Amino acid sequence: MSLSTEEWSAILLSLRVGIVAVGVMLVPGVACGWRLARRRFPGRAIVDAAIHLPLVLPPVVVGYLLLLSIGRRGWMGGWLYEHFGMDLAFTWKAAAIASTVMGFPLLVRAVRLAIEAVDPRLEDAALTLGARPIRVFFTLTLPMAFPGVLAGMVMAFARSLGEFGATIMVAGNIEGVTRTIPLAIYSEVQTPGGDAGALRLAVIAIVVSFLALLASEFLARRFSRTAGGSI
Amino acid sequence: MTDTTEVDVAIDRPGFSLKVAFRTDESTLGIFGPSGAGKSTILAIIAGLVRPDRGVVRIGGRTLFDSDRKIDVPMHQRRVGMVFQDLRLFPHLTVSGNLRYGPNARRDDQADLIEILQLGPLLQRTVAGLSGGEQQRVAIGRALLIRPDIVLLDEPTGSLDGRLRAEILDYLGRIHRATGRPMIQVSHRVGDLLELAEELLVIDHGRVVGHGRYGDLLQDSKTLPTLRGRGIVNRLRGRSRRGATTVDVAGTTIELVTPVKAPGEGLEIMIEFDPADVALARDHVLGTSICNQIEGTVVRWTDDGAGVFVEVRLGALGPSLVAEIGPESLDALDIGEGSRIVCLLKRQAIRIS
Repeated sequence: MSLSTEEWSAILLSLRVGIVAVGVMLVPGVACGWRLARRRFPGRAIVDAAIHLPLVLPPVVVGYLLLLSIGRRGWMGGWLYEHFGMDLAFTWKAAAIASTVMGFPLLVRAVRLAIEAVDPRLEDAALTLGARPIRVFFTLTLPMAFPGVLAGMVMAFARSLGEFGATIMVAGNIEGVTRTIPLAIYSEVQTPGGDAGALRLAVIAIVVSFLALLASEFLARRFSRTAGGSI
Repeated sequence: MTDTTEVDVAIDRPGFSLKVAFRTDESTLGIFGPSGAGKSTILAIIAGLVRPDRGVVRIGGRTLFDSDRKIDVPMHQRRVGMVFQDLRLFPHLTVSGNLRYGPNARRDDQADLIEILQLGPLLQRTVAGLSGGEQQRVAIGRALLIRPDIVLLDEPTGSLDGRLRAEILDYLGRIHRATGRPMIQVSHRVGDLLELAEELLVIDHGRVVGHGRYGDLLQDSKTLPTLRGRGIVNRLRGRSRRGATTVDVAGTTIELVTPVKAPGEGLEIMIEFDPADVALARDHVLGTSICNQIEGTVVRWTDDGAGVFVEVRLGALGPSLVAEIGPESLDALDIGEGSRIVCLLKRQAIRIS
């Protein structure tokens, strides 16, 4: 199965967008998941709902809202263009932002569940041993929740690979720039005689997703072994 | 640094109220009380896991909590070595990882403690694969390695039985002698507490109902109702030989059912029996199946309404034991302070600990 340059660029772009999106959302996602799992604060339900909103909104709506804010006439995009001459909309960065917003709730949800599953009494025990709260988080809570965090990352990455509606709204469908795998498949199908290409890309999507799952499973096992515990 | 422990705290919650004040200079204190009395809560307050509504906690001259002065030292700065009832070992770490977890865990102490607790062969194991007694030892070692100002032991023998219980108590005694760190042990088994501490604090319904030496508490009508049942036990230290079925206590030979198993010649062992298993007689009884007839003198007695606890001293300055008899029996015996008396004790009632 040989791939055309266009197909290769779609694949590499999809990978780049997915990896960047997961990388960008990782720290805030873990922080939000931890906070929702461990802290009671006013407006918690509203924060929770806001984070989960992209899961239930039509992706096109999310993309449209993003366009309104990071487009050149949007409040943020306008500011960025004015001060740094930087364009986000209709670049691969916009696709990464769309993926980040769409995948964020999946990561937060997984992290939250994983942290909720860590017995807070163990954290108390760690504190009595003299470990500062931040140290307890990194040496106890996070390692024990790690398989869940990893699962959340894979989910978010997979969401990014499949992201279509928000991406096409805010990043467009520019060949070689913002045309990710789903957009490429859509374009191929629209083109007479493009079925073979669409099928090739579909197979690639399946393979990439499958590899991501395998990799996360492998990492989770390997991690639980080096940590010397049974999870 | 002194060993003074001072706790004066109160908690008022719907359905739960705790109001406890005590101060001790002893380096070991046992806290006894029935389940739900608030024993563990006292430890949790000292460790900072539970915040009292008001009060003061001071350990060795350092104030950990003072509601008036708005002092509430965070848990991780309290230097309190807590051994939890549910152990709370970290499942993702090895034994060694658990022991070294505390950021101030002292490497120079590690070798000694590992030696005392015999943890050497376990260091690289995961905690999930350890037996109950082994896990308990890891929990004890982990809490001690941070060189705490005080060690809090919440039912350290709670989940263990018989021989393992005695083993853990033995480890704790050795650690206390080796480190000299103050210890507070909570238990619903008075025998386990007396192994380490002479001074007891008795808690019931969130209140202190007794504080002092065990022998004195037994004669305190305020404490007695709480001690009743599991709280009253006779413990006598004696000498025995391996394989022997007798033990010498204060010049008297006491017959046992099972041979002594522990190693060593002329070793010290502890026997335990319940006061209700001791009968009293004015003189030696002939023609009876009871082979232990121990002479002593009546020191005092207390009637708590449900029974009379008579304290009998063995020998002139020997240890004392307590017999529980009915009020009518007390009248029939016609005894007074200093009366000579014979304690009848079935050997089946004696436990070796």
